[in-house]
Amino acid sequence: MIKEIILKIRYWKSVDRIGPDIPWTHWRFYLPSLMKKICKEKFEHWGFGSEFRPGAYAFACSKISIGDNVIIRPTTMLFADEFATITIENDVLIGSGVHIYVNDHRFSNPTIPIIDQGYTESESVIIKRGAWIGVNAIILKGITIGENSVVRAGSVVTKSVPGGCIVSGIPARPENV
Amino acid sequence: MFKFIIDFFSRVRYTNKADRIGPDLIGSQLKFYFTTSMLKTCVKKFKYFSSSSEIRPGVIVSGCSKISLGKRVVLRPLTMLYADNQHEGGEIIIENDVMLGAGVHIYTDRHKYQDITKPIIDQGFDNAGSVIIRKGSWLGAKVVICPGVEIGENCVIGAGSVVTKSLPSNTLCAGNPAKIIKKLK
Repeated sequence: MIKEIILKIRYWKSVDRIGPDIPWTHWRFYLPSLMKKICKEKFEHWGFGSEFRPGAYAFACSKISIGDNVIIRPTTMLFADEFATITIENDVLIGSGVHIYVNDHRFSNPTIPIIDQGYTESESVIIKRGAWIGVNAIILKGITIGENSVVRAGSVVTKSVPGGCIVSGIPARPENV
Repeated sequence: MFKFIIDFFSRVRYTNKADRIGPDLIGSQLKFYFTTSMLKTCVKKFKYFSSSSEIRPGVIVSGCSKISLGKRVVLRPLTMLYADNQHEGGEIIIENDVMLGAGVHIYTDRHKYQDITKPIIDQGFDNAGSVIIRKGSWLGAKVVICPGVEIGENCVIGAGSVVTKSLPSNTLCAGNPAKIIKKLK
C-alpha cells in the first residue's frame, strides 16, 4: 500500500494533466498566485489575466494554449493529445461544463468491439478571438470557431463555424439573424 | 471541536457503508485515488464488478447494489449512475467492453407528474425499469440515458445525445431525442 502511494505521488508530480483527480496540483487552483504559476508551467501558452478554476480538467496540458482574459470554469474538460493541440485565443468566453475533444474512437468495423479498434487521426481545435461558447456545449475534433461567433448552450459542434455566426442545436446549425 | 471530531468519524463510517460513491462522501472518495483500494471498495459495493474495470475519482454512483459493470469498463469523472435501491426499482447493467465518455448520466426512474393538483415532489416515482447497455457500445461525452432503455451491441451514440427509447444493435445514433442516423456494416 505504501509503495502504491509513493508511486502514485510520483505519477501525480510528473503527469501532464490537471484536475480534481490529481490532488498533488489540484489544491493550488484555490489560490490565485499558485494557480498562475502552475498554469504557466503546465500549459504551452498561458495568457495574461486568465484563470483556471478548481474543478476543471485539462489533459495533455503541454499541447493546450490559452490566450488573455480567458476563464476556464468548473467541470470544463479540455482533451488534447500528443498529436493535436487546442488553441483558445484572447478574450474567449467559455461557460462551465464545456467539453473539447481532438479525436474519436474508430467504429467502422462492426465485427470487432469498438474498444479494440483504436482511435481516428487527431485534429486540432481552434477557438478564435472573442468567441462565446455556451454552457455544456461540446466541441468535437478538427473544429475551428471563428472570431466573435456564438455557440449556444448545450450545442454539439460537429462542423467548423465561420466568424460572426450563431450556431445552436445537436448537431449545431447556423441560425438566421 | 470534540463534536466536530465525532461528526467527522460518524460521517466517514456512514460513507464507507453507504450504498453510493461520489466526491460528496469523504470516507470512500479517498480510496478512489489508488487502484487497489478502489477495486476493494467497488467489489464490496457493486452487485458485480470486474477486476479489469475502473472507477476514477469524481464519479457519482447511487444505488451501487443494483449496478453491475462488466470487463474493461472505465467510468470517467463527472459520470453519474442513478439506480434505485429503495423502491422496487430498476438495475443498471453495463456489459463487457462498453466505453463511456466523460459526463454520461444514466437514470432508472423518473418522477410522476400526471396529477396536476399536487406538487411533483409529493407524487412519488415511476418504476420505469432497468437500463441495459450491451457489450462493445460506445457512448460519447454527456450522453443522458433515460429509464427503461436498452442499447444493443456495438452501438455508437453521439456526444450530447438524450436516449429516450431502446436502440437496436450496430447503429450510429445521435441527437435529442436520439435517432438512428445509420446502420454500421
